[in-house]
Amino acid sequence: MSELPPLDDAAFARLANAALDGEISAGDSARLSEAIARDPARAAQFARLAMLHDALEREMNAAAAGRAVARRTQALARFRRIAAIAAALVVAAFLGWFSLRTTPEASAAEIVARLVASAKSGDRTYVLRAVGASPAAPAVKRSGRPAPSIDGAILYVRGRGEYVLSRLDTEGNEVLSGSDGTRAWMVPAKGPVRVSRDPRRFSGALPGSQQGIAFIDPHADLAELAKSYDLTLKPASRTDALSRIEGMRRSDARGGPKRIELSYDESTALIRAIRLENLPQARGGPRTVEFELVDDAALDRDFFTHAFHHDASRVVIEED
Amino acid sequence: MDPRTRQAFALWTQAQPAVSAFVFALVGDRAVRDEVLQDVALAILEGFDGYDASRPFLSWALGIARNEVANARRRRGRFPVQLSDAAEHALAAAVAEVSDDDRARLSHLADCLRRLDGRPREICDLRYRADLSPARIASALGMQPNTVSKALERVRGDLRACIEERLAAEGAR
Repeated sequence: MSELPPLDDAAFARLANAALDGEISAGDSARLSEAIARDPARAAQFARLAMLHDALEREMNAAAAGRAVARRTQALARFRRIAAIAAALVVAAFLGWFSLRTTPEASAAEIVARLVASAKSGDRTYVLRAVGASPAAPAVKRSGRPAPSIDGAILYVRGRGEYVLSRLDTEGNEVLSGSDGTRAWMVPAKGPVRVSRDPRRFSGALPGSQQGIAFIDPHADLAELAKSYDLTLKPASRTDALSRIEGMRRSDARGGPKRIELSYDESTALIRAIRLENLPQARGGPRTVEFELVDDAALDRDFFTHAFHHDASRVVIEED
Repeated sequence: MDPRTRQAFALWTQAQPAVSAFVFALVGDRAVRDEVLQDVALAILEGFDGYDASRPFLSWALGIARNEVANARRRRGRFPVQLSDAAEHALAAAVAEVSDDDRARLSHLADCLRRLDGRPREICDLRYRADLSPARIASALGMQPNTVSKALERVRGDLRACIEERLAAEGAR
């Protein structure tokens, strides 16, 4: 046995929670192991905690569909970002598009106008979730290595084309890509920072970016959405009380997710979620991606510049 | 479904939450856990004829789970959590011991979760529904990672206290 002193209650709880939150170091894993192996009471304590974590995951997911009212009140701020982006997406093109349609969609124009009116500019933070991702077929980079996962990625957006996408690579290191609106950049976990004057450079990891619907540039995304999708309004869902706008990719459109769904709150005109379904699978990756707003607090003025995210000592390569 | 398969299915359904918690404690990754649980379920169905009904089913299932975790580790390499062999053994014994009591306790969790609101609820949601680590939650919400970890510890402590309150109230009736 090791000569390390036994852990007190607080230290044991800290290590046990760190292990179950996936944030424990190798050294702390060894200390935790020793405590569990040496003392059945500690083993029981860890077992109870593991069961609580597991039950929490189960209950939180089970409750998600059934707590529409609670979500509506608490999530008002959380979903404001999606409202801003998605409403901006539909501004002129939706109105123009609907004006060309027949009467069943005429009322949709009014709703879209409300969505637009409720949208506010500002900084927005989303969590991206991959649904139906195949672990056997992760997105693969040209180098042959697995690309950092889009599942659990965080997307920060501001204004027109300014974004930061934070993903984790297979070793858990953060990989950042982004644009300040004029210059795109990539800050890998190791190696030089790369910068390009092409604002679309390094945007390939954004779901929908290959098809011009990356949800980072409202005007460009708007044009593509209106051009390539048939849009219809759906009634409020019984499970979450949200109304929906559904976009089905037109048969003559090239690529892109087959179906796009924007979920919004009828009473507040806030769009609360975006779902991109049947994404092209040529390069692996998830079939479906969901965007969920988690915050709309203002970010630092320089947050969307690459320099904000790395030490001044990092080598920066200007590609053009 | 033949009676033997029905029995295996019923026992597995009962044991599954405890086995799930055990596997997650060993691998620390939801996707891997789910993959291992599928393998465990399959191994249980395939090997149920060899199950000795005089022994607790959960202990038998936990043994199979340990084997499947070892197989997954060989296929995938390191997991975020790396408990020693002795710790895994002790944990399996502990899960088998505490399982029945805690299953009863955790039946109050859903009610207690309904009391949770505001920022604690949001953090809990991001941790357990969106499966973000405390560091990622901190990054998304502009908080310090340590603050998120402490908030999660507080939430779990409050939930445990709520469960105890409900158990006490139930006992007083």
